[in-house]
Amino acid sequence: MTAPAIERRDSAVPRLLGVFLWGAAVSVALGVYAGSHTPTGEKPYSLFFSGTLQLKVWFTTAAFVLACLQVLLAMRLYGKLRRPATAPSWLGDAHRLSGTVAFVLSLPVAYHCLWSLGYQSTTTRVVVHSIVGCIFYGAFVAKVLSVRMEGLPGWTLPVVGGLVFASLVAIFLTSSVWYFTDRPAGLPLF
Amino acid sequence: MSLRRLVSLVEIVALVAALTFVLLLFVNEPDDGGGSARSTGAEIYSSNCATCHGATGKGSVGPRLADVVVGRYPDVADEIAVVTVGRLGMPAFSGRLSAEEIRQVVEYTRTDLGG
Repeated sequence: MTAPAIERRDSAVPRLLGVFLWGAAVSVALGVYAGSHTPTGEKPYSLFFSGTLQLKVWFTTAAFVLACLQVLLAMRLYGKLRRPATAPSWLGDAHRLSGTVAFVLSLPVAYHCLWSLGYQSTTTRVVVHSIVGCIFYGAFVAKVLSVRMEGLPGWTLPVVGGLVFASLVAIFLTSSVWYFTDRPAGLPLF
Repeated sequence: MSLRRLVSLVEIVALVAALTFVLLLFVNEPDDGGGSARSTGAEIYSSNCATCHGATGKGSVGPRLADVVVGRYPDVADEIAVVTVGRLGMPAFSGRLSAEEIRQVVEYTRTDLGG
């Protein structure tokens, strides 16, 4: 191994540690807030849905769909997919846009979870949802930092991006999918 | 407007929205205040029951409690038993709440929620 390669690895470690610590700090801060804040139990918004619950279910679903699109676009950007044969110039911008919109859609959902419901442990589904919800935003912050920061190992972005996507999938499964399949009779879908 | 400029604009909106929601987490409290003014039964209800039964007991994922729970469980011991050991989709709270806390939250559902 050459000296410059060792130097690069040495300088990458503090950056990597910084990314990890920022992400972990955000996740822990959200968990502490959820556990210590007295839940208000209020339903502050519903837009054109029949209630806040339905709004959250569909916003989460939309965020999940956009995240899937973002992963596909990333795979094409990094050459893991070969279709279309010539990558259009707007691919990178579309990747950023889909991720940003997914993040914006998640905000009112997370706000209601944290402010109105707080950390809950009544069932396994609820525990997993509470914990993964906090992990998601920490992973998201780590991903944004990874994108902006130079000198990180090449595996950082796919690993952190994968964590963001995996946590969103877990959130989707423990909220929207549960609502679509197991909601009590009488609750409206929209 | 080019796609790149649109993306930049949406990212700024996302940043402002995120900061706004973080701020609201700390400054937006309901008028009835929470904290010391709320009874213990109300606090327990808010933390453990409101998710499913609704903040005002009018039902959500779980059934309505307000105005109906006393009719459904004329004997308070029956309602305490349901909360303690669970029933159908409702989890048991015996490991999460003390007997006294269960009694307080049951009293809350029968009085303040309009039983």
